[in-house]
Amino acid sequence: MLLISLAVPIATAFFIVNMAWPGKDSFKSEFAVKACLSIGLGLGLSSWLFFICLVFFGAVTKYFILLDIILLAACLVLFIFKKKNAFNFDLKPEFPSPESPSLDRKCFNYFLYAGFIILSLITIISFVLRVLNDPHGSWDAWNIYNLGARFIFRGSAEWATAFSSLYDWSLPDYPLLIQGNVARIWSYVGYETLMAPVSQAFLFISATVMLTVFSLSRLQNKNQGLIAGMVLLGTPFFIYNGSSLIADVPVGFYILATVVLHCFIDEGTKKKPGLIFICGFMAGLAAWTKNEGLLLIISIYFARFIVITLQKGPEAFFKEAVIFTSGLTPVLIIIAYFKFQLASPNIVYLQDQLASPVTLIFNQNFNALFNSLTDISKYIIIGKTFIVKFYELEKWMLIVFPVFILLMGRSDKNLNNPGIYTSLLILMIMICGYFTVFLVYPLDNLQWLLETTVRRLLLQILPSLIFVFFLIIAAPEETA
Amino acid sequence: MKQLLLKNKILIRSKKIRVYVITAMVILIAVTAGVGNCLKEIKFLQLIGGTDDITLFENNFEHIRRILPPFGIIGYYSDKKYDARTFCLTRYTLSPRIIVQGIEHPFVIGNFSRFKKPGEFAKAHHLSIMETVDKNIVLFKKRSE
Repeated sequence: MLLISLAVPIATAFFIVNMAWPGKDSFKSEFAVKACLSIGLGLGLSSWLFFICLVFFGAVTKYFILLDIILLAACLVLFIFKKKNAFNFDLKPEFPSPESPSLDRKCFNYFLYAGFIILSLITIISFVLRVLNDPHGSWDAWNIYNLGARFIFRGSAEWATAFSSLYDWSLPDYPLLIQGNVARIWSYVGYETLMAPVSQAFLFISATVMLTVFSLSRLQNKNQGLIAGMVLLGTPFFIYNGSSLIADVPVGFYILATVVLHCFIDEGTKKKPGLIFICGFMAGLAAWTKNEGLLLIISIYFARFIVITLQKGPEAFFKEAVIFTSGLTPVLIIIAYFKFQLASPNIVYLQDQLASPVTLIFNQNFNALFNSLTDISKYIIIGKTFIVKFYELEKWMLIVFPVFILLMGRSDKNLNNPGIYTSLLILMIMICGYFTVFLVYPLDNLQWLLETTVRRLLLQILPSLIFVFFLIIAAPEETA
Repeated sequence: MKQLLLKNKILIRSKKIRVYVITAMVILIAVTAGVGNCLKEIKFLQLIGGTDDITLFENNFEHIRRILPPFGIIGYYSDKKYDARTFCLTRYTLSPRIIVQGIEHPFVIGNFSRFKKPGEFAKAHHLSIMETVDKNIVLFKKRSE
């Protein structure tokens, strides 16, 4: 049942991604990229649907399983209907190589494959060991995510009480993608099993690594994709955090998915409304995973406004923004409903919220804000922490980046793809956003806040940073 | 001409070596980090002896879970200064019941240091001991006046 609960939404998402994908020539073309995107989309979509059922029926019922199956069948029928006349099973290879590789190239490929497989095995062992040590996950995992899932699953009609004012210690306004999905899997299985959050975490880690590898293989070069994947797998905190069953890796996946999708959207001249719609939905899912996703949405609008307006004019931006927003809206609606109707149902809670540090940021007077923004010492502290934490995140792997720039140089392959500039802008705006939040943070415990959050925030954008870096850097084939 | 060809060959060879070196570097760093991570986890696994503290905590509360009503508010009292973890674990274990600080509820979980006796506490606050979870944690019930 556990497998079915995961397979049904992922299969549904796969058909949706296939329908949205431009070009009708092949079911299998770019199969790997579509499959990776489907994992995140499927898990997000199922959580979204489960929450709607929860609100609609008032408690966990088995109706949502029926709805899952109906949706899968509908997507399958639509997919077959759309592709009926366009199937082409005489497939071109996924990553075509123009010439047969030389012996040297073959050796290099084997070398890379061996490295990647060994690293993947080490990662799996590391994941299993971490889960054995902490089957309930880290503090945040059981105190926020598993607790939320238990409230939904065990709570019956009383589930919403968990997110009321009485429970503000466990951050009741945290979005519900992770908690909702765990409760959904438990409802499928019929009992609580720690395998639900564990398999979800494993899927998100794998999907993030594989999306990095396959999207780079498709957009840049197969070997470049494998190297990028190894850099990600060689980041111990990425595996540690992912296997701690918390939401940083999932939100990192959705950030990566939007960045990758923008590169696909901007590749070539063909319009791709389906991909823009999916991209909007993915951005929404990032916000349904963690509040940081809201910053991603703002960053995307800003980045696209700059890139598209400069390239094609404001009209083209507005056209794209409409499609993007229509993908985003279904998720934003449930986020708004959850935050305003369920997570803060009474005045006492709102008053508590007004006293919280986050609200204090917006409640500062102009003088206090001006002082914060002109305080050089704050810039130094925050900047230093960002650098130190990025080193702590990557450790020795940090050497790889300048060495790659020096030895490999810039790639000429994707220079005309505005998606790269969009991705860079999104990441820059997100980093600036994080920086500004710390800068205007009004309380005295800034150092503590930086210590506890910066590494996790950087981890969320790390897969996207690695993806963009290796998209810009020349591949081994270009150099050798 | 021959010199030029040789120069070209050396250049290509040096580029190939460069690619191999940088790839080997990535693999080496990544494998070292991954193995280091595994060793750390193995050490920790040996230290905890196979059972994590949350599972042990939940096992201790199994009986209390059966006694308590399935929903509602449960009070929580502790005389310990740093008690956030036990409080959160109690809330996690007993969910979907809501655990709040205070003793004015029909059921109260008490978490005591060695300086305070649960029996005396119960007497002073019109409570009766229902169940003892371990030497520190006790479930009280409000006595009718």
